[in-house]
Amino acid sequence: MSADGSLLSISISVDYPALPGALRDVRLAIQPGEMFGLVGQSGSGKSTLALAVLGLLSGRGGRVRGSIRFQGQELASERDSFWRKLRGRQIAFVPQSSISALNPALTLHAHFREAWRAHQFGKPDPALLRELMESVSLPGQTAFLERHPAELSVGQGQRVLIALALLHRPALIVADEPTSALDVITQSEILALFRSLNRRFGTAMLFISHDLMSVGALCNRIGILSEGELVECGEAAQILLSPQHEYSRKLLSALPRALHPADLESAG
Amino acid sequence: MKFRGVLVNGLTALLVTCSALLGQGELRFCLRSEPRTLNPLLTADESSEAVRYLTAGVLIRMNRLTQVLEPELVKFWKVSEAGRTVQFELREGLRFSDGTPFSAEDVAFTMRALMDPQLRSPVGDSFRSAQGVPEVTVTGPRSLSVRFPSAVAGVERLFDQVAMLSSRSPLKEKAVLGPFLIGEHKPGVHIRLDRNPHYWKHDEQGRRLPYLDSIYLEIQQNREIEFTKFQRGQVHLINALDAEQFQRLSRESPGITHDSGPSLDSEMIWFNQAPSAPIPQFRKDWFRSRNFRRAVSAAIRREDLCRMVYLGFAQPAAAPFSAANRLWHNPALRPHEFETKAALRLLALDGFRLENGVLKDSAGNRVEFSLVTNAGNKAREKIAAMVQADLAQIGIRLNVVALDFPSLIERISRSFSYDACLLGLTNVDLDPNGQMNVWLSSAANHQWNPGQKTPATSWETEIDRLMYAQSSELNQKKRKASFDQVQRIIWEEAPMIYLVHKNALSAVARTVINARTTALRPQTYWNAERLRVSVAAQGGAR
Amino acid sequence: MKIVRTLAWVLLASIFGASAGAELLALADYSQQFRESPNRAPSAQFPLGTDDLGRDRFSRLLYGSRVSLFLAAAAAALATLIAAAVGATGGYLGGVWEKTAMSGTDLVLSLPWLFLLLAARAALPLNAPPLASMSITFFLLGLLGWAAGARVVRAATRAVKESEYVLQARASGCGPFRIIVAHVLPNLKPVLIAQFWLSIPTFILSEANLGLLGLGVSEPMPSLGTMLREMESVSRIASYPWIVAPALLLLLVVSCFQVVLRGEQRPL
Repeated sequence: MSADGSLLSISISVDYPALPGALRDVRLAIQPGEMFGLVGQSGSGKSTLALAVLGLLSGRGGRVRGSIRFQGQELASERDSFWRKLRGRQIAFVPQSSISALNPALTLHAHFREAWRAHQFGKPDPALLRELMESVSLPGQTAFLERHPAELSVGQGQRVLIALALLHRPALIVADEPTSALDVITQSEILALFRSLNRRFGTAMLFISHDLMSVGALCNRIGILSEGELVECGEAAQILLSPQHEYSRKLLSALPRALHPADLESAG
Repeated sequence: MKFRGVLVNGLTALLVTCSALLGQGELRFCLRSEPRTLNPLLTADESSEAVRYLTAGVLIRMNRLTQVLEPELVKFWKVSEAGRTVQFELREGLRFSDGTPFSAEDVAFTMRALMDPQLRSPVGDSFRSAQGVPEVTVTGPRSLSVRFPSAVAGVERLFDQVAMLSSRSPLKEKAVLGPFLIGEHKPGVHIRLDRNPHYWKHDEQGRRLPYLDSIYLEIQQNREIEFTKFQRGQVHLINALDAEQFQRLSRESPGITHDSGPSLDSEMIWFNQAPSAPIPQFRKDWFRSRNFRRAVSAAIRREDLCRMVYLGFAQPAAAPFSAANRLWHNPALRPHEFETKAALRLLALDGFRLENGVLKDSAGNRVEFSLVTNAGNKAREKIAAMVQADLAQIGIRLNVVALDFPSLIERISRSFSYDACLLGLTNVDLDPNGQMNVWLSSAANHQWNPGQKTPATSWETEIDRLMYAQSSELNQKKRKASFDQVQRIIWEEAPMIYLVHKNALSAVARTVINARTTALRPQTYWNAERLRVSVAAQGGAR
Repeated sequence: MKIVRTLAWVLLASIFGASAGAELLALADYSQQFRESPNRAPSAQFPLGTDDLGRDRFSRLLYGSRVSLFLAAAAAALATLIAAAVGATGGYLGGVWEKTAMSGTDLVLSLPWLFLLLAARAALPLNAPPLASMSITFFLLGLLGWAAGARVVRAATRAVKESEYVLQARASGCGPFRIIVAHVLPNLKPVLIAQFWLSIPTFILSEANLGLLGLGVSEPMPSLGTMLREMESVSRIASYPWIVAPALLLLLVVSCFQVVLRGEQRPL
């Protein structure tokens, strides 16, 4: 652990060749087991931050300056082969769309097999897979695992992606808009799932969304990202009840009246 | 129908008569490749040779029909000094196609050009010998003599190939003495030869030859297209016609096809006897055995080759010269008989034995060898397949390998990495002296064992002796006796196994008048200056 | 459509069955020369007549198609494999790898491969059995015939590389090799299969042309290529129309495969 005990602490700027300053001096820290929400509109740099934390920016032509410390170790200067050992095992990723994030040519089982082989020898234990599938409320029997992504509903796909992220019991899950493609009911189911997994396994989470509502329902702390800068960062309740930055206030005022954060506070 | 046929024939006859009176027209036929050169001293390929034959004037011409040498640009020639000197007396009043007079100086000029080592003339090479080059002395405006460094029998025949050039004409080698001159040349497409207005020959009525106005030579590689064009009347002649096409044409329109009997060409197999050959010793031993070679020869059904590969338009071969060569053919030699039992008997003499259909040598090696030939020649590929089947009958396994020409030449003349070879030989020169480079054991084209320092076998020693004897002998009977003996030794020892002589097949359109085909090249137009094409044909050709 | 597919299957099965069981079906040995009966028309004794040397065309077609179809398929598989390896590696890894792969491809496309083949044939021992020399010819065809396919594969790979599921696989910690093998190639299956089937008739015809240069099958062994070569003269076809049988067979095999494969690729 780092000196301040954070699981992840970053202080970075990111430039793309066509877009310099995609992120400008963004500093944040996530504690072990913490649920951290990052809110911003599309184009604010949320996904860039997610990819930076996973060390996947180089593939998209991005250049990271600054520091990414994970479990006390500096990663920003590391080579991709080093990152690869962390990805999936220590830091897992849940992408937005289950339809395009699952390989249409592979069965579910093959997805688990490949994710397993990235860090372990042999094949994943069937019992482990069943347990994993059940933990995301999916049938764990072989027949289901032999399905192709096209044979799943969107919600089932999202659960599969979460199960994939959980395969190696990572310390941190980076979820980039994991619920935005879902209908309202499925959305709330997935959010509930995240909450219970966090309680069960103590997995920390960087939950990225444009939807302040779901973030507020899930996270302990929230950061607000606007045009590449972290404009506000603090306790969820504090930000929801008395936002300091103008942008945060705007986000908040866009919420429907019936779902005012004050009610959620009591519900959470 | 019959009536109409008669009518049409009558009409054609009428037209033929009319055109004969007019005596004009264009003869059309195909060259199968672009001539490599139009310089008559450098001619080596068939297309270039066709152009040279039709345009060049020569001192002496071999009549392709009678095979007799005749004076052409000379009134007469005389051989003296035991064959070392040839004296020529030129005809009077000869002019090149541009009107420049022709004189003895021009002959001397031509001979000098021909012998120029810089030019590398293939025709010049046949005049050259180890002792040196011939010397020309001009003794008058129309008389000269050519003196050779050593006596060579029948040397005057070589002048059939020497196109006379003008030393004075500004047109240089484009000024010709032959019946035609090159009118237009579109490389890859055609050559149009126009009538030479100064050609010296006249017909019996005193009319200046040639009759034809022009000859249109279409350059056409594809023989199918050539054939179709002939059927449509767009070309008038086909030389060296393929047997299948000949048969079809004969069926469709009898009377226009001509089978001139066996040609000078032969197909043969020889075994590699070169001591340096990188092949197993036991194979070399087989190939050096006369019994083995004769056994292989006796196992081949030559009649079947003639019948199936050439549809019967070929003759089984016995020796290098077919009956087409009137002077030098040895009629005493018959093709080796097909006789499996005799073949096995010969093999048994060398300790070969047949075990369960497999022939083995005395050391127990299975008799298996490869036969290389050039790829893309259908007749040869068929011959190879048939020989393969024939040899299987006496337990020999033959591996047929078709190679591209450069690889084949590399193997048979440089690396010697082959067992046996099937190839054809095209004879142009009728005289045995033209084959010194094949039969002398020291010669480079002594295919089965080239370039020997001393003859490897007693029979090769004997061939060497006889070849030298005939080359300096002026008495034709004695020469013939010597070369007959050479052919007999080749027949006996079978270093070359002669298989077939294919027939010289050709087709001549009915509208071509005066055509007389022969087995010798050029089969159909050797008397081009006397050919005519009737007007009806002109209509048909358009 | 289903009937057409079934029919195609039946035809393919019978063609392959017939050539596999050539020994049982052929009425005469393919090399036996019935010298009294050259160029015969089809009859009970010779179902497809005889060739110039009196050999049973039917028997030669059976044996020839066995040799050609099998070896051409093997060569096509080899060429497709190389195309997949080169195209997918270059397309996925990018950078120096891609440059190397593509300049290699261009090199192979621009090579005077005919001379290479001639050199290879010239270097072969003369006493090699016909089947061995023909196998080598097809092997060389496969070894040299991949370049065009590699370009297609590379283009397809680049599209796949940008997909969400490849990002997801990378986020799971999968290495580039496993991603190419397990994620990229399965998605290129239609492309690869098309390449494979395109190559087979090409190779069969190449063998026919190589025969003109002495690189094809040697006597007495038949091949579809050498039999097709007999058709080069139109007037011959006019006199012996049954010599088009090998061409019809090849056409039938290729089109049947097309029908069968199009069926296979339908979404489930």
